Amino acid sequence: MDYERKPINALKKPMRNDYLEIANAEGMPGLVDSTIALNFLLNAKNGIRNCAMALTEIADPQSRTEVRNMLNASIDLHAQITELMMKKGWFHPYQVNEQFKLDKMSAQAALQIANLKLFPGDTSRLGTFATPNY
Amino acid sequence: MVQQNFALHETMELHELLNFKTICMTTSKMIQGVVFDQELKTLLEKDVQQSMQSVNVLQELLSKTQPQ
Repeated sequence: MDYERKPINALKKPMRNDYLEIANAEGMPGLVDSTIALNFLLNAKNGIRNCAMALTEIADPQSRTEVRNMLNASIDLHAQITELMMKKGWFHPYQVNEQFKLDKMSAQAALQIANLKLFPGDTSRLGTFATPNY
Repeated sequence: MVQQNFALHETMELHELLNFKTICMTTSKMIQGVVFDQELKTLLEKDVQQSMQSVNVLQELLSKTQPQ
C-alpha cells in the first residue's frame, strides 16, 4: 500500500466533529497505521525490558530458558517492527530532526482527537449483551 | 521427582510476564481489525502467535508452583 509520503502524521485540516470528516479522510490510513505501529513498537520494547528484568530475578533453569527464548523472540519482533516503520517512513532513527517534526505533528493530531467529543452520551450499551446481574 | 516451589520473587516475575503477554496478545489481536497496512497486520498476527506460545509456557511453569 502506498501512502502519501509526507506529512503522514499531520491532519489536513483542524478536526471539528469526528474522524469521518472528508477533509481529514485523506491522510487517515497513514495516521492510524503509524500510531498503531508506534504503540506496537513501544509494547515490544517494554516486553524486552520485562523479560530481561525477569531473567535477573529467576534462578530456576527451566524458567530461565523459557524466558530467554521469549526475550530472543521479542528482540526479533522488535527488529522487524523497526524495519517496517523505517520502510514506511514512520520512523527516522538516523534523522533526528525529521523524527522530531513528525512526533510534534503526531502530538498535535492526537491533541485534536483528544479534544473531540467522540463518544457523546451514555456508552454503557447494557441491553445489547446478556448482563442480567449488572 | 520432588515438586519444588519457586521462590516468591520468581513466581511474581513469571506472573507479571503472564499478565503482560496476555494484554499484548489481546491488544494485538484487537488492533488487527483497525490497521490498514497488511504488512503491519502480519506482524501483529506474528506477535499474537508468539504471545500465545508464551502464555502457554508461562501457565505451564506457573502450574508447578503454589504461591506460599
